[in-house]
Amino acid sequence: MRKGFSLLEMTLSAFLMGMAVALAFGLFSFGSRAFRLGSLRSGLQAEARRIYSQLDWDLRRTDMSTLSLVTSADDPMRQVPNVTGTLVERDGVCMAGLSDWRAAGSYDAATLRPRWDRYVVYFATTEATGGRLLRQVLTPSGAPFDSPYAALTLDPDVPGDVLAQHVDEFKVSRDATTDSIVVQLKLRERGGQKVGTAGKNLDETLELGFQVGPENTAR
Amino acid sequence: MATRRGLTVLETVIALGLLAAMLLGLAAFFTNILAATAKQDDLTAGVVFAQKQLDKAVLEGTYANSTAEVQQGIYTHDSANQTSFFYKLTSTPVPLPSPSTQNGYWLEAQVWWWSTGPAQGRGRVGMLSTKLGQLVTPP
Repeated sequence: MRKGFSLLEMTLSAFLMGMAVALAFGLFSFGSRAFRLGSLRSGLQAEARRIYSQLDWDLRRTDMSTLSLVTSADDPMRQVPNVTGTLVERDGVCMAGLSDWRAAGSYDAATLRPRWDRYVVYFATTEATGGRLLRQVLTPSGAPFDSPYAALTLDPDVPGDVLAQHVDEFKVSRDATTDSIVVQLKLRERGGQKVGTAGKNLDETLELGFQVGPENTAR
Repeated sequence: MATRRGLTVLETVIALGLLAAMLLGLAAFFTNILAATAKQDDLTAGVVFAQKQLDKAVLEGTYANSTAEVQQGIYTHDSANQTSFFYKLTSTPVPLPSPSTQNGYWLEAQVWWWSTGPAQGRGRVGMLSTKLGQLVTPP
């Protein structure tokens, strides 16, 4: 004679099944949050490396006498509250550059110094939710240039490269004692959740600081 | 006619044990992914930090006698907590190849974090340090 399950067997199997399902879903949730946090970190890191390599390259090759900074001291709009309400700097820096470093015509025949034929501008936009870091190349008339770009305006609508989308702070200053530029960069992204907490949001921040001496500065 | 029977307690326990081991393995895998991305962030910040110390010593002209050992907090992933980076700068005079007659300086920046020294690591994430070197030729 075949008999069905007893109430105890049903309860026990339902309990075990529930445990297994809860475990599986818990792990799935943990895994998806870990993956999200991991990809968020990788994204910030890629942005940081991109900014560092480009900005370091341009700064290292320029001439300090052609360089100009736009900070909150010149333009109060450069200081903005970030997502947490903290006031942060979103500065700009403009420097002379060369369109072709290999061309003989890019250098002065007598002094062998570069004949600067364009300006390169880096600046962070001022959205509270996270600025973009833009790199623009300006080619006004009057080259070669030997002084800072007088008509500089930080216009996000000018076509250029977007190096990062999650800039929290971009602070640029001049170190007068070493005749160099100090850059402080903070990238921040919301949406990460701390693994192991019940939905607690955790912002991710990646900070880089570097100091570069423009090597084509006349001594 | 064959009789059908349910699972024994032993079979059930073994099945659950296998399931638990598989789930724990997966959890460990995700934890390791997180640890690896955190280490990558620290390493990126550490390399730039080390380069900054080298550049600073060259710019300040202190490369010939740099023996600084300093600590600095930097945000590398968690927005609420900084990671403490330590660095040690050492400078060694090295003769420059002929026909040069003067000495150059081998400048080395060692940076470490989450550990008490540059040669120490942590379980599962390995060494938490990086080292950059630069040959500086006096002007």
